[in-house]
Amino acid sequence: MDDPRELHASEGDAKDILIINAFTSAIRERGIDKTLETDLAGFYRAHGVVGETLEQMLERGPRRLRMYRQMVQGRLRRVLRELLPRTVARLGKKRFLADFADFFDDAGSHTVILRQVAGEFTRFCERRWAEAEAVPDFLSDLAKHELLSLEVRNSVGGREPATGLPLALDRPLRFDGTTRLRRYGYAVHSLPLDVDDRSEPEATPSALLAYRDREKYTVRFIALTPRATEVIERLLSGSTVVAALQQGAAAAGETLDDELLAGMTHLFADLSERGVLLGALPDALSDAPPEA
Amino acid sequence: MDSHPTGIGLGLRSAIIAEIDAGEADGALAFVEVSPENYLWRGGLALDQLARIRERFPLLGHGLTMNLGGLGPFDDRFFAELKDFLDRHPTPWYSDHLCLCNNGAEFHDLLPVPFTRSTAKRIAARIREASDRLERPMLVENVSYYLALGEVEMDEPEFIAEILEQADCGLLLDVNNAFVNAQNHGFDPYAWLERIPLERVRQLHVAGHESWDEQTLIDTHGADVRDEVYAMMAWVIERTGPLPVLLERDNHIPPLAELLGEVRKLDEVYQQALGRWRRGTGAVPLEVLHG
Repeated sequence: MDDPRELHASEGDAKDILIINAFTSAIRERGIDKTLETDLAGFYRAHGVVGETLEQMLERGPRRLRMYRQMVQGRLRRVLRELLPRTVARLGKKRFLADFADFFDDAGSHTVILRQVAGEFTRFCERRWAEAEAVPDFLSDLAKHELLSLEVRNSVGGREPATGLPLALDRPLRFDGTTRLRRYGYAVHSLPLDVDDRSEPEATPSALLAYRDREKYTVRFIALTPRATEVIERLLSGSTVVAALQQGAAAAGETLDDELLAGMTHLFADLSERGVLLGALPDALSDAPPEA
Repeated sequence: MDSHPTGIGLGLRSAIIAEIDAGEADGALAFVEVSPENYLWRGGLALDQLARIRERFPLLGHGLTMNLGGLGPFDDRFFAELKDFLDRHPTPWYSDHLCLCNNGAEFHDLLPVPFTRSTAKRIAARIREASDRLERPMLVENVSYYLALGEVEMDEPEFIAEILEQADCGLLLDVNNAFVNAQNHGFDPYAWLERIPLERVRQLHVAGHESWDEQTLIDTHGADVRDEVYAMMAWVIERTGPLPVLLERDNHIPPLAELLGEVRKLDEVYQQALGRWRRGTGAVPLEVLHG
């Protein structure tokens, strides 16, 4: 018997490969419903299916080929409606169908994890939504916000133990593993959750810190001020507290003064109470160079 | 494969996992079947629930995306993650479908493969490779197919038997899929079963199906199991003896109490079939594991 590691499609039967490729094209290709109905032979021939294989496939007709097409595409569209409900609702049926058809044909899914298809679809659409006049400017942000909720809810990690070390200026901090920071150009987090709502968010740059509640597993969001955003973003990247404060204040165009320090101290205390901030990292885990 | 549950189990689905976690199915299920794809690269509530549930029920692992009928090499990253999951959640075997899931892109569905000798050979080799990679026995499941692909060199029972023989693996026999295929393609499901190598059957799936249109049944796992499918399950158990039998429900999932009612009904049919098997073989009654 052949070694399984040496046997792949390149050694398979060419006719099998041709019919599989034709079949999966019938499922993926955009706008071919009519062709399948009116010129099935032409469709198969265009995919190299000829002879007895063609004859047998023509005898079976287009009905169940179209059934597979509807079944596979319909399932993925349902998943997207479930995972990105407000984004898909605001796109409208016609636009969503067109975006999905292009996504499925041009890019397709490359993950075996169904929930990750929502991210694939959003990344594919981001540029085309930005260029489309009919799509509101905030839609990409709304999609990213729906994805953020999905990501945090299912994130690996979370519930890491507190380090037991008090916050110290010269050390980085440990955050709960589910913590994420996202910036939006619109205040999409303020929109109602109702999928039928069509109100528009303010065009205000916004930043959210998201985390998974340790006890209830719910996703929680904290809206951050610009200076808090700059500081927390640096801390999440592994900066020491002092570097994050100095660079964060500068990036926000603020002075590192008592008022800013008091505000940050208050934020750190709140995050600690929520179980988001878990203390200073011990030396072994710190990015800081070891002391001589 | 020496130690495994027998009796009726349920697939762990998000709609019922909280109730199972809360103990509402304790004593009512012989096992719980888990699809790892629902847990890979994931943390949070579902993983914590699974960790508690596996303390109370034997687990069987059943995949959806291995792409045994595929043309390209396996996804190394997926297999590494899957093996890690199975090492942390041990199961006596791992099963997936005799189908195509990926051909340049993921279809997130179970697509048919040509019933040809070259496809059987390729799939058998891939099953052996998967078993080696996962370091555990593989079972393969017959799928519902709505369209035969290409030149049919062999019928489905011959195709399945050839793969099982070449791969030297077990069969997860889905009797609902056999029933749906029999209706859609016009053959006798019992004649089909007669040609399946029952000595290789390690597990059964039963499920309900719905109509796609007037001419086609579709395997949705979205309805109660039909009497004809119960009868096919019993027919198999009469001949194989005790096996794990999964009640599949993925759509229109009723409350757990209702599902457990269907589990009890299935168990009655199963026990009657086992009784006939015992009388037929003179076998000593076996203890059926219940959680």
